[in-house]
Amino acid sequence: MEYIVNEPISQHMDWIDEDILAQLGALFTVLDPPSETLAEDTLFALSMASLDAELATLQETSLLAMRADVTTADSVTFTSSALQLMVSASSEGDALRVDGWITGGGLKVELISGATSYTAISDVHGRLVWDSVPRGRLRFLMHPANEDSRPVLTPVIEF
Amino acid sequence: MGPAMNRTTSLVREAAILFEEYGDGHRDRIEPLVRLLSPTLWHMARACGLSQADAEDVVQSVWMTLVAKAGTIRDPQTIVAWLGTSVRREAWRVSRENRRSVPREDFPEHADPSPGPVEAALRSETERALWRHFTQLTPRCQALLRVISRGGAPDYSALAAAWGMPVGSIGPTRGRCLDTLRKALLADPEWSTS
Repeated sequence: MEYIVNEPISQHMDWIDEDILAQLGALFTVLDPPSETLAEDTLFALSMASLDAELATLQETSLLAMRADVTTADSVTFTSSALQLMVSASSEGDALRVDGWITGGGLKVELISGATSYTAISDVHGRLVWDSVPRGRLRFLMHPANEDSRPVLTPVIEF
Repeated sequence: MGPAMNRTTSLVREAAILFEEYGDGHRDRIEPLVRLLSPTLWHMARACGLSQADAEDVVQSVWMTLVAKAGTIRDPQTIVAWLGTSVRREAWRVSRENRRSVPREDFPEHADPSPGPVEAALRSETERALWRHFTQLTPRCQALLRVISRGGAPDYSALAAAWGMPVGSIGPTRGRCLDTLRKALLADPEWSTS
């Protein structure tokens, strides 16, 4: 088999060949397209990577009764060297209400859903609330009070 | 997300320009570059036989690696080749790991030739004829044609090379894979050109 590095294949092809390949390309775009959020999710992952964040670990998974009007909700705790965050979710129509507790008041915590970030600031008791969060894969980005400290990113959880 | 490029644009050339600018310090060029090439990398990963979820992971991790190693790629013209090679290498690694635990998931066009969601999505006689003849090709040919169909005529060689197919294996004539498909289509009255 001959190996011709800079041989432009196209010069030996005619419009029918190009048409076949264009039809094939269009067909795969319909039959097996990437998810609509692939580029968005990738860009987001790149921006997360550039944060140089500490990765929190998932400490435990337990079921807790959260509110009177819902039976149970998943409660998850994340730990890092300096911060601890517990979150739980309950249904709010088609969406979620996410409650959180963090070890400290006045801390900024981002709830990240796809490429969207929802910011909440903890109250004096460390409580956080996010309303109308779309269901799905979520992660959290915690910003320590000391701005010189690295932010802390949790693994992805499914709510 | 785009459909296949037409003959006046070149995916490979556009990518090279964006990556050159990125290398010159315009870090925001990563965004159009990711948007431009992610669909192509996805189709490469799927053509390697990865599941949809694995293909997505592979595309993301390849971009991560690119950003970490961008400085080592001296010639911006080779960006598509570099990404394609990375996708294939990463896809092999993932497939090997998957085989250790669960049976490898074949991609639908190989695994199940019976009528199903694929046939339902085909909207015209021409599409059905194209799909019928395409799926008669060897897996290797199917993968190659799927990959080069992501670009326009100026991109075919570079995409084939990025896919690890020596250019000579599809040139100097239009190549065995495309030639086989073309003959079958031209002989089929149900298929027509656009």
